[in-house]
Formats: sequence, C-alpha cells, structure tokens
Amino acid sequence: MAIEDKVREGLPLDDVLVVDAHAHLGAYSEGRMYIPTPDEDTMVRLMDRMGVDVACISSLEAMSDFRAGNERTARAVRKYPDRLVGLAVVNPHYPEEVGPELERCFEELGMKGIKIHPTCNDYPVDGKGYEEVWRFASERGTFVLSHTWQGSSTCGPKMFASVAEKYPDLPIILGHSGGNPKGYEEAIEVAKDHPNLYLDLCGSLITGAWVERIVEAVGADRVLYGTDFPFIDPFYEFGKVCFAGIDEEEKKKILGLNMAEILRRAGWER
Amino acid sequence: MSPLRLFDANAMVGRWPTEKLAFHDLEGMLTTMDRLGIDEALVWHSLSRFYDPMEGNRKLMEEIGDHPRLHPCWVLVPPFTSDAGTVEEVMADMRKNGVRAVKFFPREHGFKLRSWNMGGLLEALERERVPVLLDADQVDPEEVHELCEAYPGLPVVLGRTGYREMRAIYALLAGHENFYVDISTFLLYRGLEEVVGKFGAGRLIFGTGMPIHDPAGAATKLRYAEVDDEAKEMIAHRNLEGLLERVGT
Repeated sequence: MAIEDKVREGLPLDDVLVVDAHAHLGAYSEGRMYIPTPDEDTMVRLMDRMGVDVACISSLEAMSDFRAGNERTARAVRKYPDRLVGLAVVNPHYPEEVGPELERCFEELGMKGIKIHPTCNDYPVDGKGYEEVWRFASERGTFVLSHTWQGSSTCGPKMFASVAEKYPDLPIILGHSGGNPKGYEEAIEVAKDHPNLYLDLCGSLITGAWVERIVEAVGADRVLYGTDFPFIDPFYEFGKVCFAGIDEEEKKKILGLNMAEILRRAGWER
Repeated sequence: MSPLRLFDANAMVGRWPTEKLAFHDLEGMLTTMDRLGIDEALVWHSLSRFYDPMEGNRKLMEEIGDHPRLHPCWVLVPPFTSDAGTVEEVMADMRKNGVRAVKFFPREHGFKLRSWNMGGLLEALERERVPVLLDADQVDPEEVHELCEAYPGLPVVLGRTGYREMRAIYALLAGHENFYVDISTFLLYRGLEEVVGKFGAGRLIFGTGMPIHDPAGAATKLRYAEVDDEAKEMIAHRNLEGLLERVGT
C-alpha cells in the first residue's frame, strides 16, 4: 500500500522507517505558550498512531535553563530508549559552560546530537559563543540541528555557509529550511554549495509544493522529516510530507532513511 | 469506518501575489481535493482580497458556476463606499447566487468589524444566519469577542489561528456559543482533542486554507485525531453543513 493511501485511511506507516529529526518535549519556556500534555508518554502514543519509529528530542525547558532542560530530555530518553534520541542544548551566552555541558550530555546523559536555537538565545550562529559547539560536534562525529529563519539576524540560512565550509564533514541540519518561502529559496541556495547541509521540513508555512521544489533542487538525500512536536501538532507536518508530489523512494528517504544514517554515524543504534 | 466525508470551509481560487502556490485554478483545486479525499469546498477568490472585492466575487461566480462540489463564499466590505452596494442589494445578490457564507478582510481592506463601521450589514447577516469566516491575521481576539457578543445569532468562524494565541481562543470558545474554529491551521499540539473534550465537537470546522496552506495538513490531522468517529464526522462536514442549512431560515 502506498504511503499516501495509508495516510488517507489514517493508518500507521508500520512498514516504513520514520524518524522525526526535529522534535521537542515539555512546555514552552515555563508556560509562555500553552501546550496541552507535552509529556513523553503522550508523544510516544502519538508516534505510534502515525508509525513514527524514533524522534530526536530536545526539551523546551532547555531554552531557558539548559542544564535542567537537558536533564529533562535525558529522563524521557531513559524511559523510551528505543523511541527517543536526546539532543543536547547549550546557551552561547555562557561560553565557558558550553564545552563541559556538552561533555556531560554525551558522557553522562546519553545524548547523541546537538540542538541550538540562535533566535531564542538572540545570538548569531556564526558568533564566538557557538564555536565550541561546532568544534565539539566535529570531533565527536555527531551532528548539529539549528533553528533557522530567513530574515533573522541570528540564523538566516546563508549564515551557515561559513560554518559548513569550516567543518565540511559535520552534518548540519537547517531546521525549518529557513522557515518561510524566501527562506526555503535561501536554504536551497546555501545547501547547493555545501553538501554537509541538510534541510528539515518542519514548519507551519511549508507546503507539499515546497517539499517538491526542495527535493528537486537539492535531491531527496539531504531532506529530512521533522515536526517540531509538541511545540506544534505533528499530524499536519506528517500529512504534508506523505502527500507531497514526490516518488515513494524519495518519501522513504525523507521520512526516515536519511536521518537514520546521520544517527548511525553519530553512534546511535536501536 | 467508511471514508470520512470532508467539506472544506476554507479554500481559495486565484493567484497569490507573493508566492507561486500549488495551484491557482479550479482544475488544480479539484485534482487536489480528489487526491486528499475532500468532497466539497467553500471557495473564495483571491481577487476579492488583493484587487477588488466585488470583482473577485463576480469572477468567483463565473469560474465555479453551479459546480456541485464547490460553493461560493463572497468577500464583503461595509456598504458606505460606492463600490459596495447597499445592504439590501448585497443580501439580494447573495440569495440570487446561492451564497451562504461570507468573508471579511478588515485589516487588508481598511475597516473595523464594528457596528458603526458596518452600516447594518452585520445585522442583516445575523438575521439571515449567514456564517462569517475570518482569518486571525485580520482581526484581533478583542474584535472577535465584541463581534460575537454584539451579534449572538451570527456564526463566526475563525481560521489561521496558529498555535500562539490559544489562551484567547479558549476564552472565545468558552464565552461565545456562536464562535467556531476552522482547523486549517489550528496547530496547537493535541488542540483539536482538547477542544472537543472541553467545548464539544460542535465548535470545530474542517478547513484547509488551500492552497495558501497545504490541505494535507488539516486532512491528516482530522483523520488521525484522538477523538471518536462521531466527533470526526461533526468536524469533517456536519457542523458546516448545519450552519449552511440554517441560512435564511
């Protein structure tokens, strides 16, 4: 049964590997924005409904307190080690703590990747406070997922060119692919020049038409499924990818095979 | 369960000025509807928003004609300027053309959705029970609250709700029985489920926002939602059909 036929019937994709490259956990920065039941039990239940095998999560609490937030992520991963992969979060305004916290996250808390959010921290992605992130990730052989948004002074897609060039073997995921139509175009352009840049599709503004354009421009091998859940509802993003006008093999790469390979290279196995 | 019958409350035909969308004509819309299993749609025309409301409404009628799956939703403006027609003329035109839902773009078209600015149009729509479809980027929650309070017989359906203003959306649902949410971009995590639990399935209406938004989003959300089949049927088509059937009664 084709992927879109299954989704039209509301069935889980139980015969397709699905990895959500961009997910979170918990309330948004101490209740600023209301999110009902953003706990790991509910998240895994919804993953089952869609047939999502694995989600890469970072706690939203880490946006305000990275240490407490990373511990929250680790507790969830300990509960569902086969379903959740933890991503470490750091704050570039505390540069002296970046290295030690990443070390703690990977050695003690079992994290496998890094998530940064230059907008939330109001800090440019190519600034000094993030240098240790890139160095650590590169040496460790892991990956970095970053929030990106076109027009932002901290994380417009083009700002990733210098980092991608300096660390050509480091997989860098441009979360939201720039976030809006101009951002998608910008993300496509920068990704064309840097083969270690990956584009994730999560975001309220992206449509199947853009999924098709992105795949046509950079190839399905560097496009990743992500939802941002529970920050927003995951089913909308799930439907957009499953119904996009691309072929079945491309959908399978995007839905899971590409991210599974990034995770495997980062040392994660189920 | 048999396939869910979907009636989209929020579809647009016509070009979008700032982006090439997935389609702009009826052929593209119908192909998309078939692929996603959407049976019928309320349709408005982009010219009504970006060029001239009346010309857009005329163009809409010309394009959809009496298509059995597509139903017109006109964009209206207050009756004071000479492009708008009197309230009586507009209501008569709507009846003549089978128009049973309207949309306003107060921010885009430069007016306030309040009695002093609407010249009796809202009273006429309330009398005829014509649903008013609004986008959250065109009105703030305060205006929606005042509208629902001043015109309790007027069904008000809010789309483009996103996920950030839920504390206000929930208050509107709690405070006004004539307030409904179109789920096209109701992106709150488990929001559909929670609203059904708190306020009942009668307050949500299936919409896609296509082609500005991807219709696969709302269609997939509804199909996978953790609510029972009865609630899905209500959201998918019955609530909207009920509102449209009551028009003019």
